[in-house]
Amino acid sequence: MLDLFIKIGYLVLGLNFVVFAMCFSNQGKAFRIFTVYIAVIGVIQIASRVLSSLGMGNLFLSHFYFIAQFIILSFFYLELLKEKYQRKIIKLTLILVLSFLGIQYTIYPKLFFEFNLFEIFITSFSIIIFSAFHFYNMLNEKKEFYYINMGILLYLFGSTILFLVGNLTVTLSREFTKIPWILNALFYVFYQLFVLYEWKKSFSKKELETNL
Amino acid sequence: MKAKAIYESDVIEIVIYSCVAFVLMGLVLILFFYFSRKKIIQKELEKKDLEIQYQKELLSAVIITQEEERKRIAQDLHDDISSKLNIVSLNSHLLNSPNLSENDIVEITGNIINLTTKALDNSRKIAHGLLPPVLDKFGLHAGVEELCIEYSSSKAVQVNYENKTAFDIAENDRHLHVFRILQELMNNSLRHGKATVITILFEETNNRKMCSYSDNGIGFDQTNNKNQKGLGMKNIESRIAFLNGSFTIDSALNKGIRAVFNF
Repeated sequence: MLDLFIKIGYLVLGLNFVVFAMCFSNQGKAFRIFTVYIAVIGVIQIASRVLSSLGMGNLFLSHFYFIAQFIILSFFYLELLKEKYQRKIIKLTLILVLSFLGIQYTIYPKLFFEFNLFEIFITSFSIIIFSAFHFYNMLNEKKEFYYINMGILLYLFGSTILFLVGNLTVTLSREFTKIPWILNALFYVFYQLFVLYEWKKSFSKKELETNL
Repeated sequence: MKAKAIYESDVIEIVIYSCVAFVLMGLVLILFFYFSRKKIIQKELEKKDLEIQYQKELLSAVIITQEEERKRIAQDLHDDISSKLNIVSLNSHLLNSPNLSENDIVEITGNIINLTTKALDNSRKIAHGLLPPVLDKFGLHAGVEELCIEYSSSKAVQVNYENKTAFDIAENDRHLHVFRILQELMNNSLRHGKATVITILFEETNNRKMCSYSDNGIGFDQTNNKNQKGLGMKNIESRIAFLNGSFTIDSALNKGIRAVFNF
């Protein structure tokens, strides 16, 4: 079952990448950043798949995943949010979190081979806060990346806790280890469906119009 | 081994519950945003509707004013000019009739000359009332000055006019609105307010010209809604909106009124 969900997740992610890449040239900066995000996440997932099929540990890729997600989505929100204080907060968070993690890894390089709880927590919740900013701004303005924002918020809320208990679940026996990852894969599918829905709602039409 | 399995299922249970709890939290947050957004948009729509409603009212006020003005002009033309021209035409026909004595002819031509002079005079007065030529040629200051003299000459009211600024004649289109506003205010002061003293003052602060107007009439009760939306007031408001200015009016019963607007 886990494999099924993961494959569906890959499928939707791949589909998203294709449709986003198709519109890449005639969209705004935020859209392009999000396309890059999809691409990078896809590459990391493929890499982790390859590593695990080769029988190598792929846990260290999680750091790339979280940090890449954090950086790219921060820039994504930096592009979306127009309020000065919010932009300032994003920039400050970006700098502080990255320098903090840098310091942490230089002091404890061992962390590289397990789930870094602090990293998971700080990167995910920063993004959650940015997405709440965006929701707040959209209260009385037109919808912009509305469903993507919804998907990000929901997925991060759900998956963060699963990653946080990641170190715990690897010690469990096989039949239990899978359950959180099934859940996570399920969330991931929903997340990607939100992204796809956003594309359908906001961008597919524009694409058609400009082609006609 | 069994104890370990129980422990593990507990852990998984906790994990799943907390995960669901987090997702629900996210969901609540999203729903909160969703409904707040709906509510705010709704409120904004209502506000826009109100604005449109208000603009419609202003527009209808403008149309009504226009119709009334037409009626007044028609009446003026009919009473003061047509009637006189009628008699002129009658008299001219009389001239055609045979067997007129010298004396009759003199009388009839005298009548005609007299009436045409009156008709001319009246047409000038009507034209003057519609758009004072002084305002057109010499600007707002001269226009208002003349307006004040006209009102003062009726002896019923004393008008104090002071101008501390200079008006550019190129802006006469805008100044016409100011003139009309003053006309309306003075008209109201005299007709409804029974004022005996009217004061008008033009000043300039921060590049904005300001006009203060006050009278000592009976004023009106500002809390009474009936007084606020008269045709004249609406007319003034739309003119102020035209000038991108602001307008405040202060009044209480038996205290006169005080109006300030800038343009």
